[in-house]
Parts: sequence; C-alpha cells; structure tokens
Amino acid sequence: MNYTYRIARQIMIEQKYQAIKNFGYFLKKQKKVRSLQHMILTNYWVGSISFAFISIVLVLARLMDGYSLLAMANIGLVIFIYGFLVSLYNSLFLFQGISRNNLLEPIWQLPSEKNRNIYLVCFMIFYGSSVAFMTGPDLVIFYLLSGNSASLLFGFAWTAIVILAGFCLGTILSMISLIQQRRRGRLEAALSRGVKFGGIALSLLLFEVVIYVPETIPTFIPGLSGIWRYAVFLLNIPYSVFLAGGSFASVAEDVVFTALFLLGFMYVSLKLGQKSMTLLEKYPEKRQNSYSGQKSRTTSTGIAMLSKDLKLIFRDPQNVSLIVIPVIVTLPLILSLFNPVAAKTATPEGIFVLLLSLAAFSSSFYSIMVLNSESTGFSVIKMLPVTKSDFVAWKSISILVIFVFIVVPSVSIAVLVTGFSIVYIPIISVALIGGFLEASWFNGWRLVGKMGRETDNINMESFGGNLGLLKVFAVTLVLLLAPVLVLDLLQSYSILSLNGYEEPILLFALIYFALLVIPLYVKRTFGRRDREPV
Amino acid sequence: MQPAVKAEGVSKAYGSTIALSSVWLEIQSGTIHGIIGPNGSGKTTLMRIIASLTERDGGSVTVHGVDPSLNPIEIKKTIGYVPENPALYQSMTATEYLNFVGSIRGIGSFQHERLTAAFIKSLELEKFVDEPIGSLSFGSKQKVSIIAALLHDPKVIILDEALKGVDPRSSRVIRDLLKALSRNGKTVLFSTHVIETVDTLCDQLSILYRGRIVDTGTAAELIERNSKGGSTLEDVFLNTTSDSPVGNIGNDLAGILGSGR
Repeated sequence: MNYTYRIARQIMIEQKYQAIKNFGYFLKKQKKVRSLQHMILTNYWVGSISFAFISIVLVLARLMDGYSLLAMANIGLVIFIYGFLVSLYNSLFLFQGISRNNLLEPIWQLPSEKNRNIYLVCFMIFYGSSVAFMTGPDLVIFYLLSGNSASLLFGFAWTAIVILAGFCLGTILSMISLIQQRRRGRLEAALSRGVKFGGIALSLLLFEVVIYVPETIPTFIPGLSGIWRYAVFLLNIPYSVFLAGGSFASVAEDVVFTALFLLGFMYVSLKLGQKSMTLLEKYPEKRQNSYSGQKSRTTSTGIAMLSKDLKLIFRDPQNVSLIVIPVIVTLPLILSLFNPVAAKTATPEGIFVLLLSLAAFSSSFYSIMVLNSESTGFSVIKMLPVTKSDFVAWKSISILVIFVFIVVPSVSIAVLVTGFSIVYIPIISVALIGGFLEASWFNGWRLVGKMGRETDNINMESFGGNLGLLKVFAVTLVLLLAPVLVLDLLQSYSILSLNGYEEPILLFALIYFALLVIPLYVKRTFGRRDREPV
Repeated sequence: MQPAVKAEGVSKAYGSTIALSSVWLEIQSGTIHGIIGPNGSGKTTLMRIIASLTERDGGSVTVHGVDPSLNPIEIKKTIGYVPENPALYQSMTATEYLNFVGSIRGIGSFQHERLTAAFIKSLELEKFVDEPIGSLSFGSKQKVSIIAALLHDPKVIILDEALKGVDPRSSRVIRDLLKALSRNGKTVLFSTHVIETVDTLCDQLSILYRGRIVDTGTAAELIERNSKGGSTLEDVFLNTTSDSPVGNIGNDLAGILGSGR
C-alpha cells in the first residue's frame, strides 16, 4: 500500500480516535482499530449518499417547473457552488484538526519528503471525493434529459476543479492564519488578517453574484476576454458544463485553459500547504500574539463561561471562517429582496420565513462549532464543578451573541428594503432569536449527550463529520419549521384566525420561547441529568 | 476518624483490558499518599475514579464521605486534580485561564488576585502570564495546571505525575507546599515514577501493579517487608512490579543494536 495513503488514512483514524476514544460504546469494542476504520468508511458513504440525495431533490424540485437548459444550468451552478463551499469547509476543518491535535507530530521524526503532500492526499480521499456525489446526480440527470454526453465529461472535470479550488482556498486561509499566529508584530498580524478577510469577502461576493444574477452568467462569461474567463472558473460552470452558451470546441478550449490556470493556482496553494506543514513541524505549539497588561480578577460563572467561549471562537481563524458560512449561504435570500418585484410581493411574515433559513444554518453550524472550539480543553470543564445544563446553556448564549450581530442587521435590511414599518425589525428579530435559541439549546443537549462521560477532546469527528452536520441541520429544520407548518395548517382549516402581519410572527416567537422554557423548567424540576456534570 | 479517601474493591475494565481489579485503599486526612507502579498499572484510572472523572465498574469510593459517582459536582468542589498531561485552553493566556477557573470556582476577586500573584511569583511564571498557553513549555503549562488545581484551597489534592517537566526549583517549591498543606490537614494523593520524590515526599505509599495494590505502608515498612531483593525503595519497586529481574537487559539491547550494523 502506498506510503502517503497509509499515513493519510492513519491521520483520519487518529482524528476519529481522539474524538471518541473515551466514548463508552467505543471502549467496549474488541477490535478498536478495525472499528475506527469501519466508522470512517461508514461516515464517508452515508455522507456521500446524503449529498447525492440532496442533489437529486434540488434538481427534481427545479424540474417540477418544467425542463429548460437555462434552469438546469442555474441549479447546476448552485450545486457546484455548494460543492465548493463543502470543500472549503472540509479543508478548513481538516487543517484545524491536524494542527490542534498535532496529528503529524509522529511522522516529523521519519526521514521522508513524502510527508509534504499528506494533507492533500488525506483531503482528496476522505473529504474531497464525496463532493463528486453531490454534482454527479445532477450531471447524470442532465445527461438523461438532454442526451449531451459532453456535459458529463466537462461536468466531472469541473467537479475536480471545484474540489481543488475549495481545497486551495482552505489551504491558503489556514496558511495565512497559521502565519498570523506565529507573528508578533501588530502591523503584520493586521495585514495578514486583512488578506484573510479579503479572501473570505471575495468568495462571498463571488457566491452572491452567482446566486443573485444567475441568468447573466451564460452571456457574461463568453463576453469576457482572454485569461479573465479562466480566472472566474466557478462562474464559468453553467456556460461550459451545461453548454448554455457555447459550442463543444469552445467549451473544450475553456476547460483546457481553465485547467491550466487552475494548475498554476494549485501549484501555489500546494507550495503553501507544504510550507504550512513545515511551519507546523517547526512550531507544533501555537505561538500567538501576547495580551499584555491583563489583570487577575474573577467574575460570575456565567460571564466567565461566556467570555471563555467567545475567546475560543474568535481567537481561532478557522472558527471565524465557519461563522461566515451561514451568512454566505443565506445572504442571497436577503439580496433577492432588492429585486423590485420581490420587494413588492413580500410580507413581514414572508421575511420572517425567509430569514428562518439564516437561523437554521447558523444554529446548525454554530452548535457544532462552539463545542468543537473546546478541543482538548474540554477536560478543563470536566474538572470543574460545572453542570451539563449550565454548560449547554452558556454555549447556546455564546452563539446567540454572535447570531444577534448577524440577524438584527439582516432583518433591518430586509424590512427597510421592502418598505415596512420599523416596528417589524424587533418583532421579526425576537422571533428569529427565539427560534435560534430553542434550536441551539436542543442541538447542544443532543450533541453533548452524544459524548461519553469520559470524553476529554472534541473535534469534527466527535459528531460524525459531514453526516453529523447533516443530521444537526435536519433536526434544526424540523424544530424551526414545525411551528410554522402547524400554524399554517391551523389557519388553512380555520381552526385559528390571526389578524395582521405581526400576530403570526409574535405567535411564532411565543411558541419558540415556550419550546425553550417548558422543557427547561421540566428538566430543572424533575431531571437528574440536569444536575449531572459535563 | 473517617478517612479522607476510601476505596473498597474498586474495579474498572476498558473492554477486555482490566485496568483495576479490586483495589482497596484508605488515606487519612493530613497525609501525603504516594501511588507508584509501572506504566499501565492503573494509577491514572484510580485517580480519575476518585476525582469523579471516570466511572468505576464495581466497588465503592468515598471522598470525605461523598461518593464521586453519586455527587460528582460536590467532589469537584472538594478536590483539586492535576492530570498527567496539562489540559488547558491553548488560546487563553495563563492569566485569563486562571481568572476563568477562579470565576467558576467562585473565588472572590481580592482573594484570587492575592493567590495568583503569589503562585505566579513563586513558580517564576511572571514572564509568561500574558502569553497564550499554547506557546508555553510543557513545564510552564504544568505549573499553570497546578495553580488552577489549588486556587480553591481543596481538601483533597490529586496529582498525577504532576511534577513531570517542572524545573527543579519549582518542583521543590511545590513539594514543600504539598508538605505544608498536609500539615494543615489537607490530603494529597500523588503518583509518580520518580522513586526519590515519593521517598522524600510521601507519608504513605501504595504499590500498584496490574490493577491491584500489592503493598501499602511507609517507605521504611515497604523496604523492611521486601528486603530480600535489596535495600532501597527502587529495589522494592522493581521486585514487586516485575516478573523478570532487570539484570543486564540494557547491555543486551545495546549488543543487539550493535550487531545489526
């Protein structure tokens, strides 16, 4: 077996082992290494099949409005962009997992240059390849409907490009954050921080443009001249994969030149990746900016927990990147309100439902991210007299603080653009905050419950990797949408009659807070688990 | 008088691996009790069970009359635990971390400031308190971990290889501190591989081997009972915790290495 592959596989096993080594069910297993391999394989396949399922659902939903080349190209573009984001997310998480747990420490001692590409091999085999399951069904359905075999060829070539692009951007962001952690000068740190956030903003802009103006892409890209066409390879997808605006020969030419362009991009990011491995090797322990002049003082338990969580989140650039992802995913919905036709037909209740997606994405991502930020420090909490209930409550409040800074401006923009009274800003915000808090609190309990009493390390694999994220997202959707659907049903059968725009939203807020407060009261009053330590 | 720590027939297995097999132990208040044993003998498991961080499979444990598995939060208030590998938040500075621990433990600001200042000065950590913990040396991290475990003035202090990586001066300070604390009625449970440390520090010793306590007593008592193989505590340890004598194993290995070239 190939040396690099073996080490890459070992890194995955190690990451999984660190996550679950003290879980009761794992400790009871007889063949632990085999069981770890089995879990990694199962997670990979279930995650990949879930991606395929999501892709099929998205395409079929679009096809319900009827088949057209442009419609297929647009939904294809969305799927490819989501594939890119999943790649970026995985790339960031993998780098974080490797650097935090010093997973490469044992192989530094081995005299081999092959170690340099382990990060890429690990990513491609265990994470990147699953993205093909996301784009694959879309391409196959398109081929079956259009009979265009060239789209299959170009589609899979483009899938590889999208995976590598996510990997490259993730590597570059991780690399910049690593350099930032090593540097002490304020100017250097500020510069690298600026470059990093610039990169995030650029990818955000790219995504927004693509989603907001998909119709213009097929005509816009061929209109670009020379190298620029290949530089915006992601935007090029509808044009070149789905042939929405070019001949086979011109598309083939595009693929070749884009691949060449990407090879250059890849070369730079691989070199950076190798450089980052060297940095990790030289400084296995993080060196960050010092924080001089701090005073020894104590505060209340709540403030201490909140302040600790926010520090853990904001001092880790990967976590900051993860905070941005829900915003990237949902901002197009807010931007769609800038369309005069959409603004005219919008209602405050509609705005609330639209922004519920922001609460769903944020709650899913942040619930995992805030636990993941504990990392090996989780054993600190276990040594302190902190109950599971307090732990979950303060984690939920920490991410709520971040969510408030995102949701209030989002609601304000949506309300102001659509011309409704500013009274709706607090009403919609409070309802969304209620939903977010309820879902996050439930997610927190569910995820903490998954950890064994002896868990002392948390990483992405603690919750089942991509599959775990999908499960959390599904649960969050049910929690947030169930009241909306029930209320809708009650209204449509005239069982419940609500007046005005604000009454339904206020009722949603009431339901969310009730769903939070009632179980909380029951747990505090009757539950033994509530008084259990973390 | 009720013992500070009492373990009766404690057992623990990880799958098919037996970590502890009917361990009996009684530690009186105001004593320093050392646990010595070879790697994998169950020292850490025993300490984690007492500290309520690991569930036992069988037997009973009490710390000042409280069962760790029934009331873990109360135990965490009573105990100060220093793990073998310092578990700390890497991105926090030492000051921030100690502030966090002090806050959770409900220590008043004035008392906290006084305590941390004294500890930081005594353990020569002044230069590093504003640095992220991740950038500190292993020994400095261990010192932060020790301070955090002592801040709330616990009745029982459990140190699992706590002096590993700590410089000789600070190690001496900590050992003197533990002796003083035990004189003030605190109970210390201490594990280490360094025989000299337990010999000079501990009032009582237990030798743990393959999940069982094979002997308990003062260093002098252990030497007296097991004097057939030698007259030092190290000899007693080697004789009671190994099936084969050390003999010339080191020299033999060197020979094997040499013959391979």
